[in-house]
Amino acid sequence: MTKTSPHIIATSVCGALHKAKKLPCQDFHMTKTSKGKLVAVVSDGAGSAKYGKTGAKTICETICNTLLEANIYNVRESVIKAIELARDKLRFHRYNHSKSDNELLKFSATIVGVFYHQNQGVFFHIGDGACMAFNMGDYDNCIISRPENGAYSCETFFYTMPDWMDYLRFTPFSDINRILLMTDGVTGFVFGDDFSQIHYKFLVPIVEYLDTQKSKQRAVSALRNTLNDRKAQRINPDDKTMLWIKLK
Amino acid sequence: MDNTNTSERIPYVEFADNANERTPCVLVLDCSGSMRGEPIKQLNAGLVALEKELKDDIDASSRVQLLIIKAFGKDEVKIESDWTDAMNFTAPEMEADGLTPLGKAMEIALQKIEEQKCLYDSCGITSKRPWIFLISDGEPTDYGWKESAEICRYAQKNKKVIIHAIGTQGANLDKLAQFSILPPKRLTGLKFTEFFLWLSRSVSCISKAAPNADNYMDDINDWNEK
Repeated sequence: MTKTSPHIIATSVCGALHKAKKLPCQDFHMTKTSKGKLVAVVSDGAGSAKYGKTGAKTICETICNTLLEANIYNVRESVIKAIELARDKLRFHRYNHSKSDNELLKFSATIVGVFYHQNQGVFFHIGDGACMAFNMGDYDNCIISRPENGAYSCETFFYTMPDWMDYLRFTPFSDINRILLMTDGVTGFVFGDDFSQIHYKFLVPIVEYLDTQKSKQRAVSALRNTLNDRKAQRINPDDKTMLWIKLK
Repeated sequence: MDNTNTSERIPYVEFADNANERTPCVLVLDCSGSMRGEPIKQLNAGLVALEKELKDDIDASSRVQLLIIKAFGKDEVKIESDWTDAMNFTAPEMEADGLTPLGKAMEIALQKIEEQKCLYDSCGITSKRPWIFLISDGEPTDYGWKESAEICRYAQKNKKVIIHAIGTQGANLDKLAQFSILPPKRLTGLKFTEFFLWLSRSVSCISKAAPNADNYMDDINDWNEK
């Protein structure tokens, strides 16, 4: 890693519900950096979708592999193209027996992502989960891309839906030095009920630890153990992913 | 993913519990004359078991809300137990008498759900999609029940609610089926207690489940006639 490379810590842990059903974690995360550009995506494969994990992995890989070619001015078009490409891959996936759009919902997954280059960035987001951009210590002025649920908390939106474009949201930001992406297994710990408040007693210890821990391996392990905490799993038995980026 | 095998956790982290989130559950119970005797006795025993089971579950007791509607008399409908957190729920003792106005009862169930959703929204409380359990040993007797059934199916198709129709022995499942887009189930004998224990486990599981995790209902073999 060079001096200017961002410092990235991320982990996905399997929730108690999937563990009980002997299913793998349906969350996935990925980051890529090149020439000062950063792309990071976390995705939550829907528990109700047979191949949600595959949908989550496909979108993370497709976006990370294509978005490094973008710039801050055309990133929105590039995100849309990347999602269309991921949907194309799923149309011809071996698990899509009819090779049609009808079976895309079997791969349902959310998108929580960020593109960053030269002090400017943009969040792109479909469904639940959340993104935060802020300067270290200044949590009150953070830029947040909030979760989008349906009428009930048990419903959200996926890039595999026919009307996915209606749910794709972009949030620009600039001049910040920390980014945090998370799936919905974690949002309840970070935010209050209406997402207007931050639970500092969860967020601050994690942010400060990740910021100061020099060993990446140890930081990942501690983050994973924390998200796997028995109390955390009891309160929210969903899969949990956090992806932390220190830019400067 | 990293494979470091240490037990170190990040110190001083506190996990906030979103204790406000609710999972609403409505029971629409046929208390017509045909339920007299052993059926109503078993139904009451089942409700007591539901109360105990939900109260014993630390999470479900604060997250699940119950509403009980009784269909009986001369096409009468009564809110036997209004919206109550499971921790404060006391099983009512039901009595059997009269006819079976299930259409009217189901429309009131939908109306109460709509009102409760408005209350949740105004208080900033998130909620899971509500459940309605329609339980009958017969068939609807009220005029216009078919229109009510259509309204129920429409609400379910529009993801406003999840409706389960349960018939005991002698129930007309073809008619009960018209209230839901899901196939009806038949209760084995008078296994109300087994049914309500299943209901408690399922609603508890859903109250803690992840978004779109609609397949976490418990096994129904204890009470469902195959």
